[in-house]
Amino acid sequence: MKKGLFSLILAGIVVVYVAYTMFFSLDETKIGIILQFGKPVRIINEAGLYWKLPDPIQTKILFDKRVLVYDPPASEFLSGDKKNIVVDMYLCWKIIEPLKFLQALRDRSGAELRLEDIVSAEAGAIFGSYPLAAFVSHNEGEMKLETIMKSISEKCDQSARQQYGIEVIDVKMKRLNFPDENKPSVFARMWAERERIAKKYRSEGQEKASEIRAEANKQKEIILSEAYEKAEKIKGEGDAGAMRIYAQAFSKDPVFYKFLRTLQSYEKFLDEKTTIVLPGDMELLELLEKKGTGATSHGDK
Amino acid sequence: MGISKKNAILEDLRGVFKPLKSLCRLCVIGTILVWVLSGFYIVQSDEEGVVRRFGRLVNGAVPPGMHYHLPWPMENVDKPKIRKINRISVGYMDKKGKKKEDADSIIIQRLTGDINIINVRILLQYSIKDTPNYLFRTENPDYLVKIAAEAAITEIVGKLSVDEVLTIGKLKIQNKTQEIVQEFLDSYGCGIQILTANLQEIHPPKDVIKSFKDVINAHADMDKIISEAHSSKNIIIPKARGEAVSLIKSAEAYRENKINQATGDSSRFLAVLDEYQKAPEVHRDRLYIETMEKTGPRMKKYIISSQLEKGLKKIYGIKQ
Repeated sequence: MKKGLFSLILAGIVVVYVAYTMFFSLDETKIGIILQFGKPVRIINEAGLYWKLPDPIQTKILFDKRVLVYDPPASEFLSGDKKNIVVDMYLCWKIIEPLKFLQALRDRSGAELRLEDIVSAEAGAIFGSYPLAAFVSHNEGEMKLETIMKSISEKCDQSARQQYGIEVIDVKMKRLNFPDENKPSVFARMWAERERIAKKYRSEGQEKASEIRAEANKQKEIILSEAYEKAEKIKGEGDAGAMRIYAQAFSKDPVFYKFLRTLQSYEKFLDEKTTIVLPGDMELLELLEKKGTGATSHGDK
Repeated sequence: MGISKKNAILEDLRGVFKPLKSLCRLCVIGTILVWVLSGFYIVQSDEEGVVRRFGRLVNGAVPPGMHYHLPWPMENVDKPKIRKINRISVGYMDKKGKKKEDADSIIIQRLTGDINIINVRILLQYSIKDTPNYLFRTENPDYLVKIAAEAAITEIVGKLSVDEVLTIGKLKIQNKTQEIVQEFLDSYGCGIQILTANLQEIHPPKDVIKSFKDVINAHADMDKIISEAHSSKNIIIPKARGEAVSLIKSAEAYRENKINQATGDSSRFLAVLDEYQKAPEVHRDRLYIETMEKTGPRMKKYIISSQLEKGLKKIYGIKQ
């Protein structure tokens, strides 16, 4: 009775253990390898319920099959035109050949170590063959950052795939900057550039302003001279009109006009300052010289 | 120890366990019941349920409400909040305990296309657009949003000049960031939708910010000088127009004056002429004498007698 009970309990434990190690579910995010005494016999890609021979005959190893991110620290590189740049990149990768991965790297931290080596080697080579203007440039066509990063990720993918069963999906540049010791010179250049622009704005302002003022003066001259032209024309009309009217009137008796006009001008130019010497026998004075009264002289004649 | 004694002990034990037996059964039934009922779950209104059976996705879009899944370990459910709007700020340190780093820290500095250093902070809002992909395709989708945004900004700012970045480029940067980050994330298949990208800060580093401000001042100065010139132009020209008008008006006045004078003079002449022609001789003499009378009194006059004139001529031997 006692023996039977013990063996029953033992059998129960064995069954539970066997069932527990025989059946397993594989998650959507995982990829599994079944090892038989350490030798890989089966790779499971699809999620679901599976069975294997119980431990320790067959064991399972699971790897992540999601896209993984590796974000190594920023490091310094040299561009093609010998400029020091600090580049911070990140990598997206995933395990595509778990067997190769298992054999070459065993686990994720090993993989990240190798990936860092690969990336810094490939990036160093490729960055060194492009000038800084290929990384940042506001001239379209000059900037080739996308091409650069794509070729780095292709190169990394090639060697990682071959050696470690890893697919490098993407290598991207998070940050690009100068090393701290180079920044002061960059700032100095920025400062000088801003000063130049400020100066340019101010002198452009002066230039525009004097242009506007000159234009104003020009227009003023034009307006005034046009007005002068018109005014003289109008005055001429007045003069001409007056002459026409005079001619019409005076041509009726030019001799009388001359006589009358002469007398008028006498009135004007013979003034207090005039001294006149008159001959005694002039017509107006002839009566003065005759002897006797005007009446008798008349009679004499 | 005799067999009977052994049996007696067993009997005793049975006696002890007998009432426990039914309790045990109750316990077992209760446990099974709880286990079966543990399959009930509630998906809240802002969530979406994703059910996996033995690790394999069976239902990726369980709507809000009460649902049932096979109890553990057969099925399990994830309920991410798909309607929640997540925010992530690029340009802030993600180190714990240190939320916001120095304004000029390397993390927010970017190089512009004309090799200027500029500080950029951008806030992204995103939500889950494909729940199974969000859960199973990438390791840490939220972290991916952050680093993809950093990469996108590096690329975008690197294509613009510093002036563009600081002025017209702002909207462009926001739109482009949203577009490029989405593109990156889609290429990883991480099931995230970028809703907005907002520039929170974009300015030159503090070492050079004064010079940038001076450029803004210079621009204002330029505008001021130009507008002053414009306003003086607006004074000069109307004034000249006024002068022109007065010049013309006075010329017109001159013309009218001349013509009126001429008309007056000629009508006076014609009137006089009319009378004169009736007795020319008389009027001639009269007019002459009248003029002499009028002008004579104000002059200094010397009258030389014709006799004296003749005598003097004789004395000085002047021939007639």
